[in-house]
Amino acid sequence: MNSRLAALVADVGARVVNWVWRLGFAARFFWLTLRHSGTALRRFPLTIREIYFAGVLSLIIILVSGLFVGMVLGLQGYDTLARYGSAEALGVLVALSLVRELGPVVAALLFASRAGSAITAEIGLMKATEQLDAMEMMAVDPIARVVAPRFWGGVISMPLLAALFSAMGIFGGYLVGVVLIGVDAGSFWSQMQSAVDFREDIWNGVIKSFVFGVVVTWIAVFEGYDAPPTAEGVSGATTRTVVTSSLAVLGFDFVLTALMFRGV
Amino acid sequence: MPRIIAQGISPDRVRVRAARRVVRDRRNRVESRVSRQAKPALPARPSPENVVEVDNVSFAYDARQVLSGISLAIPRGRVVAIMGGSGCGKTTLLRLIGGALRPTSGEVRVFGDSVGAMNQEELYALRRKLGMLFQFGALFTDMSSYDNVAFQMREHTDLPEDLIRDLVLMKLHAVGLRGAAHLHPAELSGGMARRVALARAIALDPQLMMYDEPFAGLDPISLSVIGQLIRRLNDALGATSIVVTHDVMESLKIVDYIYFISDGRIIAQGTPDEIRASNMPFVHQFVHGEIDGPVAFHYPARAYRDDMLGVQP
Amino acid sequence: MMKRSTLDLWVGAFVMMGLGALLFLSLKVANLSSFNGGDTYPIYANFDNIGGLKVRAAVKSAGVVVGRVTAIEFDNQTFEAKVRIDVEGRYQFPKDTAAKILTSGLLGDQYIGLAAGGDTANLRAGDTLKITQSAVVLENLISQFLYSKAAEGPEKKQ
Repeated sequence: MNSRLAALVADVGARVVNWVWRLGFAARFFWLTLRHSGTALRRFPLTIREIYFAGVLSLIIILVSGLFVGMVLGLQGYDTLARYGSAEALGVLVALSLVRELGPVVAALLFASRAGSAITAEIGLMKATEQLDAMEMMAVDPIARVVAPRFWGGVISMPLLAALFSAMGIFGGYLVGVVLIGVDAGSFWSQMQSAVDFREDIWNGVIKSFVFGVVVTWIAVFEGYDAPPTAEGVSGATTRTVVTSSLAVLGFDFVLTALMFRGV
Repeated sequence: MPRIIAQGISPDRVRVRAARRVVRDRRNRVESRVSRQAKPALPARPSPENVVEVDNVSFAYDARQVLSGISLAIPRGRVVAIMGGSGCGKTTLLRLIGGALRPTSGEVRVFGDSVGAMNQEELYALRRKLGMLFQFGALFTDMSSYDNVAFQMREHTDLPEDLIRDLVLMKLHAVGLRGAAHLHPAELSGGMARRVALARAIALDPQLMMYDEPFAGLDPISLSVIGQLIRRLNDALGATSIVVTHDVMESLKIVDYIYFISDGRIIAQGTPDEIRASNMPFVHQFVHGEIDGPVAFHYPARAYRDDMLGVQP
Repeated sequence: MMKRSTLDLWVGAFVMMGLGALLFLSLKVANLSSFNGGDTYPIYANFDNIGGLKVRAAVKSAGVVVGRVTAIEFDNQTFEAKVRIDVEGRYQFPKDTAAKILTSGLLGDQYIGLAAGGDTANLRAGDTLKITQSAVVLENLISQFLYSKAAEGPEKKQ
């Protein structure tokens, strides 16, 4: 019994140590990526390619999800607001919840599962098939040539995707609230406009989505680069990317929200 | 100075020691024959210095000792094979020469400079003079054959695109795949992919070529094609080549000199003729593909009888 | 090379869509166009009680948003709340303008209403409004109502 407990403690300890180790390595990797970003920015077509894979290919899922989330917000919001006789505030409800929270967060979660996993799988596969080794033997730094463009592609795409998600969601809320249910269009927009503040709401939402973009893409490229070079290793890394980056997005969201909206 | 030596202490010490006696007896004879041959096939080199010198190098991954005290020298212009069973440290040796790993002790010198002491920049400067063919080609899957071969030219030179085009087609022509320039790696057969990878490796006319298992998983025709290409490209480029392989028959046809590695040590070396004629048990077993010998068929275990009868140790 | 240009087209369209969405959010949702931060002038108003007024609350005149509350401080000398209002530069108000703290709806946000007076001179940057009316605090209202009821009660009995 005693030895079993000791083994359990040792196991937990080993996991924690391993986790801290990986975190440190990931931090160093992040720093390396930033330091070797010169190529990605100087030869911008490399990054444009990655914006295509991370951003353009995520468009459909982001737009469709945004539309439906907005429509659901419209329905649920109307149901609740109508009880208090303030259905005109529907625009405020839809816009604020999307711009402040749902836009950046849900878009980042979708981005993690669509683009993040693809980035991890791609880099992991390049590692497993020795493509990264080959690149290194050709005196080309894989962090500069493979990792950094993907990183910047993701970081650039994410705020744009979040903005598209929010815009699509507000459109969805408008469809349900105004077109379907019949809330007055004038008060829907005007109340929204007087309640939503550019710096406080929109700009903070953009900052959030930028931070999420950095976090998700960082985790994705790191997991790919750190993946064991086998088929199981790559599939495990892909799963870890989605899980870790989703949790990280939610955690960062809490911290950022506390920092940004505490005073208001 | 080609000669057969037996340095290693394999698990089967006794047999190796016996082999060493045999080898010692044969040494004089062998040396006289080698000096007579004097490599008439090779053009005379102006500077016969060694391109690669591995000096008493040991390497360990964490606790696992992979190489222990390896020394070898590869003169300019030669094609040298490094042979041994699976997992004996051949690929590790290549990685040490390419600077991807640093030796635990000892020194690896390429073109006279110590690889282990280099920083990133010096290492990259060195690697521009190296070409490496990976085990399964390691072609970039998101690019066509053309772009794969053009990769290094675009990364390392400012050549205009039309000049790059001529160079790429020349390289692809050298491996017989000019017609496959537009194909992606997924559309190539294993042998073709290996040849495109070879064209990519020679893109910048390297002075030292390294081949990691170039024959693995190829059909007999592709195998001879790759083998002939290795030899011909080496002589045409005036390069030096290291071929890590366990394909004995093919490499005996094309190389100038062979090192055998087992358990992280060089246990035998010599020219193809010497290797063919060798009576050293390990070499004999390896060359002729015998099931049992110094490399035992059975993984070490208790006596068969005890296991079957369930006798407690 | 053919492929790269179609890819560029897609990325270009994507970036344009994203920026368009941001523009939509800024202009249509947050109504940034009607409130450009640079061109404002500050005025001040002191209130006995600001109730639930917050920084960035709207300042309206005749129902039109003309500015924002940008700072709320407690004045140690007068024991009043000192509110800084940034009014948009294109709106001018007379010197004797009155400020009231109002509530949109029964339980809505509080905002400041400006009622223009008749003075010929206009407010300048840094001026303080003389006439102010504090927020209606619901608890005070209820207790006033109860006290007056209580005061009425015995008289009726007599």
